[in-house]
Amino acid sequence: MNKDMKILVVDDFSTMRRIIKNLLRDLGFTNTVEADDGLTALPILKQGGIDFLVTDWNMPGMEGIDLLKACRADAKLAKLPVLMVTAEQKREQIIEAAQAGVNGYIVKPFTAATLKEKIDKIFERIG
Amino acid sequence: MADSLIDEHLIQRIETLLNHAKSGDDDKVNIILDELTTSRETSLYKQLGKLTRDLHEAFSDFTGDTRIAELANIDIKDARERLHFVVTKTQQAADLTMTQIEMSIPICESMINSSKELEQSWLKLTRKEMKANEFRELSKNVKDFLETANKNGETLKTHLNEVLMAQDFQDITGQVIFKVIKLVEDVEAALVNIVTIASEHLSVDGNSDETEQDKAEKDRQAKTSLDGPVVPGVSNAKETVSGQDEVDDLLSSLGF
Repeated sequence: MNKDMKILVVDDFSTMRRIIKNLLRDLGFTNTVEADDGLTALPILKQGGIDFLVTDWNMPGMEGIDLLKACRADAKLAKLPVLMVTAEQKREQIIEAAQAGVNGYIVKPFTAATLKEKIDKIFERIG
Repeated sequence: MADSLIDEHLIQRIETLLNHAKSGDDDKVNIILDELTTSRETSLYKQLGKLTRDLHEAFSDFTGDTRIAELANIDIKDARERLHFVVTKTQQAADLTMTQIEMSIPICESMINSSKELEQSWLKLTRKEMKANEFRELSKNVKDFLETANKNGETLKTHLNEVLMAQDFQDITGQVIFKVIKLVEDVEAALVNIVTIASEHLSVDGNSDETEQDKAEKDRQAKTSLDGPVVPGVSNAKETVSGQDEVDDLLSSLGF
């Protein structure tokens, strides 16, 4: 796993973005950018250069699930690893995210250990 | 037009009444007075009857609007649970943060004290006032201090990470509070609707159409809206998972 990879963190709450950024830094990932919802995230993703997307689900403007679907529909972003970090805990929503092609799903509140475990697993699979 | 005809009729009757009064015809005066009073009473009763009927319909409409009953019975109770949840979450976060700080401060104090002692010995050394046995002691103290500093640094980092994680309450409670704000807006809209029904008691039919539309819109929104954080006593346990382990189980059952 490349520790210099560029990670986009998308959440409408700035506190959560800071928490995730700090946890990522603790795990050795310092190259992070932020967006506050899908609408601001998508242009950043389309510009290219993002290696990993960590997104919330429930956001104004464009929700995380729609951002995920938009990525999968875009030839250049179809393979982008996406980790969803969300308070949405409905079974049907988790299934919807899985069907949309999410690579990992973390429910809030979560621990630093969970974040590490899921990221390791995602990049282990991708190789 | 109708009003002016009645007025002309009234004026005629009153003029006749006045003439009879002037000529001292008590019987005819009484007949016309009775006639006038009865006509006034009939119109008053008709108006009262209409008002009663309208009010009755307005109230039936009000109690028949399930959205209002839902707001009162379910959503307000939900809001109470949600706000309790916010209080609990914020208190937990505050407690957790303060505990970590209380554990960190003594570590800082001990580091400050040790480094002050070392500084004194070090200054003695630089002034070349130190004896051989004192130097051996200083050398051992420096080694101990470095080991402790290393260990304390790790411990402080752990405490600070705990403080960082404790701030996740803001995101969770923020989402819950947004939901309660939405509820307050719904209640406000329902109250405005009641006021409209009461004040425009003639247009009950129009209002009930509006309520149906509102209801359809709300049903549509309810279907697409997200549930947000699981709140004890509010969320449906069967439809939601209770934590990361269940998420992992569900995903692995889907081949993840």
